[in-house]
Amino acid sequence: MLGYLIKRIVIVFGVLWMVSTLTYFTVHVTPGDTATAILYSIGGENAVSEKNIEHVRDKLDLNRPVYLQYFEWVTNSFKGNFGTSYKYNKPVLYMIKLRLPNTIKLGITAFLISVAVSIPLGIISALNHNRIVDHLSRIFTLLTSSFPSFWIAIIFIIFFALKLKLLPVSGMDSPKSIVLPAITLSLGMMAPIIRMMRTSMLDVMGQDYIWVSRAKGLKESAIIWRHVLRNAIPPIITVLGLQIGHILGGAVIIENIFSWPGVGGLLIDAINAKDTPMIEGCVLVVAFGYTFINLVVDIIYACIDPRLKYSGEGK
Amino acid sequence: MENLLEVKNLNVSFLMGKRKIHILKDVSFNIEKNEVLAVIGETGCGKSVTGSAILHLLPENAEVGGSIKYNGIDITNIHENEFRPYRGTEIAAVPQSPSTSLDPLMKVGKQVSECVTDKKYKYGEHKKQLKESIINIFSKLKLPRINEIYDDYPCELSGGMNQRILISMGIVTKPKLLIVDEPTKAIDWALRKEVIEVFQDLKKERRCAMLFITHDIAAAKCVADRIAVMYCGQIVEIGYTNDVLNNPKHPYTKGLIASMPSRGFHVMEGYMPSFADLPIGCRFEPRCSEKTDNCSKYEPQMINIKNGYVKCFRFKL
Repeated sequence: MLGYLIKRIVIVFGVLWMVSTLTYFTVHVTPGDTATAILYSIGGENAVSEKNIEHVRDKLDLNRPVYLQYFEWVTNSFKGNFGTSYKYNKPVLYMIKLRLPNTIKLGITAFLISVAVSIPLGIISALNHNRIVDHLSRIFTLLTSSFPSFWIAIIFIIFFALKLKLLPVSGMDSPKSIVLPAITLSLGMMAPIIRMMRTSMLDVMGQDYIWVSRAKGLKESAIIWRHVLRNAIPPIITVLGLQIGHILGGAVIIENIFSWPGVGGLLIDAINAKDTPMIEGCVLVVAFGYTFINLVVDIIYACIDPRLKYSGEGK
Repeated sequence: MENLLEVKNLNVSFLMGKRKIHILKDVSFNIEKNEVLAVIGETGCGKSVTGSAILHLLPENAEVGGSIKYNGIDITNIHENEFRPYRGTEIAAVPQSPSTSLDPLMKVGKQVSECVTDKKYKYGEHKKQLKESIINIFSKLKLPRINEIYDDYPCELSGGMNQRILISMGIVTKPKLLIVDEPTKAIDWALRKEVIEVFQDLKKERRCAMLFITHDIAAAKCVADRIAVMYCGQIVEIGYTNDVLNNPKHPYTKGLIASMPSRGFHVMEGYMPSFADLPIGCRFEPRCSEKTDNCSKYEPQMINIKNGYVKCFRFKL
């Protein structure tokens, strides 16, 4: 188990290094001059002049070759220094620390809503296979996966905030503010969980050991709890891990629409301003969250499925 | 002797879309108390469907006709809630395929004990006593490391060991009737002998009646009092083990016995017909070497013999 853990942690660091390197060079090869973008984002068109551009380039050492800037960034990152934001002129880590709790709060709420709805719905669908409840659940999953989250967000704002005036339009001034962004974000991840839960349950229900459980004279409820759910859950854990990625990625759009002050909003602002240190910091946070959750998922998987120990995957 | 199980004209069909596929046709047999009846026949002939029909464990699209009486009570169409108490306690099953019949995420000891614990300690056994009695069964079945095996997962055991865990599950509740489905199918030659001995001991010591479903004629010979030969969803011959094996009456039984390695390995020609496209007359007619003109036109009727029957135009009393 320890060897497996070390192997997985090494992979996590490998992924983080690849993500940061790709992001760094992608930002530099995208069209547009960094100094111009910074000046434009701070002072608009008037701030952009030859003199100011040169000044910014000198101040931020942008005239040096990209690979030198990259090596400096990597070295500093290992020391825990992710640089200073070009736009906000504040340490990247400070800005992220300020915004990250909001993203986590939104992400966890959306995740919990999604799990609380999807897993029971998937179970009900499987237990009522090809009956009306199953068909309704299929329609629901089709709808939630077909509509883009930004469209759902706009509809929610128009209906619940502007027409019914039940919830605030944006910001995070009151506890109610989290409801709309969290539901919007959760809807996007419900479909795969519902479908996977249903398929996994149906697959397990057709296994020989379920026939054997019935032959033992066990009650149907006992069969569902002890045998069906227990065996249907491991694939769901994998899907849940992957859906965390959806939450982190989806939060970028949702936070912007609902003016939720999280890392997503920070990342969009940083991209607009070509604020490389901030982009790097935000992407690393998202990538770390994703790889860490998936590491946890793999560990949980190895713990609950004894077969992994013998197949060599859990070693 | 008194009949424990009476199956009369059992018909099972499956609804596939709008089409009905008839699998079992007029299957009739009985099992006396403490008697072992083996059902032999090639793979896919309906042996396991017969076992599942008795246990009320056929898929939802199955239709069952005829009558199944257990201890004089007609259990053919009784409600699931009424029948459930019979399962495991009165009629237990030892399924085929040890590799897929055990829950991969549950320890084997727990899988055996839940046969009893789920019935609210009906046998007055507390957890510790129950564990002891299960370990005792493990020991009788010659399982190694009996104390540790209780907490092992199926993936930690060999196919033969898992097969014996399945047998433990079948006998832990001391049922009156045991439906054993292909117990020697997934195990190697060395273990086969041990498993057959387990059932011989069960017959002697526990005096439990068995429906022994197998395609292993040698195993049936060692364990069964009587043998029923099934072909394409019908029982074509039934009788005492020695009579069926030494003096087979139906051409299919003769072919089956001739195909045994110990009898020269003379494999029958042709294949069993598809259930979706059955011959009009005798189902064995296309492969039969003794067919008459009537065989392709009419279905042979049951001719009663001592403790059984034969379905063949050729057979004369």
